[in-house]
Amino acid sequence: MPAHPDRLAGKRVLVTGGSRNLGRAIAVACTRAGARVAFTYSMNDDDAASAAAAVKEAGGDPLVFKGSVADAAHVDATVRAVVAAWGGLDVLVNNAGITQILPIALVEEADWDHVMSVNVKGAYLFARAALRPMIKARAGHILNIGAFGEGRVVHSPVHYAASKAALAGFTDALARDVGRYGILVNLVQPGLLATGLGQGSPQARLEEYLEQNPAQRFGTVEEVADVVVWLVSGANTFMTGVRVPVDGGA
Amino acid sequence: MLGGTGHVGAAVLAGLARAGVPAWFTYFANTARADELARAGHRAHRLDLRRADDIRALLGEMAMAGCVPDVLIHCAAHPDWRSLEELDDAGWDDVQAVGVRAAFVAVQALAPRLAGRAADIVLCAGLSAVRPVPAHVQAAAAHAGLAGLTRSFARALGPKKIRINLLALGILDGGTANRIDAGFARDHLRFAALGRTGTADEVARAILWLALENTYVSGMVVPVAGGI
Repeated sequence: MPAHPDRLAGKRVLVTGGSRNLGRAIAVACTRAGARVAFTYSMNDDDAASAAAAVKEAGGDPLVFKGSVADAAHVDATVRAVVAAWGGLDVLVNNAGITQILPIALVEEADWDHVMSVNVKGAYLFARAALRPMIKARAGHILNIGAFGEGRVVHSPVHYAASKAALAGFTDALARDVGRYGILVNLVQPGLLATGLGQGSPQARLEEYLEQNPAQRFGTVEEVADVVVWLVSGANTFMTGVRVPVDGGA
Repeated sequence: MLGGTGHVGAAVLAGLARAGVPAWFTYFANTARADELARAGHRAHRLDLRRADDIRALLGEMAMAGCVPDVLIHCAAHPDWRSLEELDDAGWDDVQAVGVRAAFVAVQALAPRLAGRAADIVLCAGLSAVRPVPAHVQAAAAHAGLAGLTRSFARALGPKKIRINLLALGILDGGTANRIDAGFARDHLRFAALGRTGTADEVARAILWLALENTYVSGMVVPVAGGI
C-alpha cells in the first residue's frame, strides 16, 4: 500500500497513453492513491486490457478510450465522456509520447511532424479540452511528462528533444495563463527509466548514462508515478509552472 | 533541521511531528517557539549557524547519541537587511555563513556518518536563486550559492545514495516576506500565476514531500512560488 492511500481521494484523473510503461504506472499509482482513473491509448488493445486489469487490481474501475492524442475529435469526445461519467475532471496527465532513435539525417519530414503531433499537439489538444471543466470548477491540475535533458548533458533524437522542449515552454505559458482559475500546471522530466522509450537507446548510450548518473541506476516508472501523484494532489497548492526532474541528479 | 523556529522551519517541524518523525533542530533567538516545538517531541539546540565548529559538534553529538539523521533540512538565513551602500564585510560574511556555509558544513559532516545509508537533504532559498527578481545582494548571492552547492553535491553524493534538492521560495504570508518592499510585493503578485502569497504550510508540504518520500529526485533547483 502507498504511504498516503487517500492522497487523491475523490479526484478524477485522465492519463493519456496509459496502456504501457510510465502511463500505466501513473494510472495504477493514482488509483492506489484513491482517484478514479480514465486512460487513453492509441494502438495495442492487449496492452490496454492489461493496464485496465492492473487498475482494477489496484481497486479502480477505469474508463478506457482508444485514439490518437493528435486527433482533436478523439480528444474532445474523450474529455466529454469522462465529464459525462464523473461530472468533471480534476487532473489531466499528458503522458502520451513517442520517439524514434534516429540521427537527424534519417529523420524524414513526416517523422518530425508525427513526433511533434503526438508529443506537443496532443498535450495542447487535451489541455484545451480539459480546461473547460477545470475552469468551471476553478480548480485542477495539468501535469505534462517531459524528458530530462533540460539543462542536462545528454544525447537525444532531435525531433524528440525539440518536442519535449516545446512541452516545457507550453507548461510555463499555460501555468501563467490558467493560474488565475486555480489550475496548476507542471512538468515532470523523467531520466532514463528501467522500462519504456529510453531503453530503445543504443547500448553504449545507456551505459554512458549509467556511468555519469549520480544515482548510478535507471529510475523506475513507479518512482516517477509517485512524483506525479504528489504534484497533482491537494498537497501541492503552490508549485506551478515548475519543471521537476526525476533522474537521480543526471 | 537547521533553522527550526523561522516561519517555514516551524511549519516543517510541525509537519514532521504530525508524521511521527522526531527531529533535532537549531534555533538562534526564538526561545518561546523552540520550547513549543520541543514539547511536540523535537529536540531544540540553541546554536549560532555562523559558527561552523558548533554545527560540526552538533552532528557529532547526534552521532554519539546514535541518531545519524536520515534527513537534513536547511531553512535559515541571517537577517541582515542593510542596503548595498550600508553593508560591511562582516555583514556579508554572516549572511554567507548562515545561508550557504552552514549547509555545506552540515552536509560535509553528515555524509561520512551515513556510511552508505540513503539520506535526503532539502535546502531552502529565496526566489532570487532561480529568477531575476529584486533582492538584497548579500541574500541573492547566498541563494545562488545554495543552488550551485545543490547541483554539485548532487553529483558528488549521488553514488552514496544521498539526494539533495533546493526549493526557491516565493513570497509568503509571513517571515522574511514581512521585510519585502510593498511595491515589489505588488509587482511580484501581478506576475505570479496564482496571484497570491504562499503560506508556510504549503511550502512545508513540498519540503516534507522531498524529505520523506523522495527516492530519485536530486540536484533539483525549483521555485515554490505560485508560478513565478
